[in-house]
Amino acid sequence: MSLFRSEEHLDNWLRANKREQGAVTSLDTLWCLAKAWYVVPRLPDWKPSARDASQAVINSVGLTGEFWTLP
Amino acid sequence: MTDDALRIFIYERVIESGKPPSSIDIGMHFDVAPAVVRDRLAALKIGKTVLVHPESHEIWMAGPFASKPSGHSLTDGTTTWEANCVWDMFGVTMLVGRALRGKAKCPDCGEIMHVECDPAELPSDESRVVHFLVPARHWYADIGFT
Repeated sequence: MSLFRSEEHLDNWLRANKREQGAVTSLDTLWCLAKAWYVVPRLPDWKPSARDASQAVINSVGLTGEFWTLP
Repeated sequence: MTDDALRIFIYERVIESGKPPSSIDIGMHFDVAPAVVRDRLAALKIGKTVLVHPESHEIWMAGPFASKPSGHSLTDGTTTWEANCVWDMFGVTMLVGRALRGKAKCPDCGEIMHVECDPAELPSDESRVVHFLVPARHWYADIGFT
């Protein structure tokens, strides 16, 4: 995923690269997603998140629907 | 060298130095041969968190940290960390545990954007937008592209 200066820059890039728009979020939403997603993997009892737990994190910051559904 | 000990060492080293350890670094720490380390890294089953490069067999990414510049970097003025994407820039901040200054390049115009990344404070910029090109169901099909 990439950060664009504005929606206008994103639109320019999509046109120039003949890409369909995926999903757009704010930096605030991404910050919330990162805060919930990244537990500290150097802790001794760390385990990889199960699929359902990861999905719950994604949905918890308001990212729902087919685009945001993990396999 | 258990999987847990290896994981903990990788993250302690990358958080401290900004770079994932090489197989030589890991081998020296655990007193094992680099070839043994590379085999263990390839077999490390910790989800998609630590991935090795298909050719060098060295650590390619230890999510959210990248081993090479990807256009998303952070610094505290002394150490520089590389992230895999803008999401991972915030992930690096969360794991390092303090405010860092991030830089990301706009894919459209190439301008370098400065992003204040603070684990305790939401970013204040409202004009910039984050674009996810790949749907979640395909994120891990080609993690490099994603």
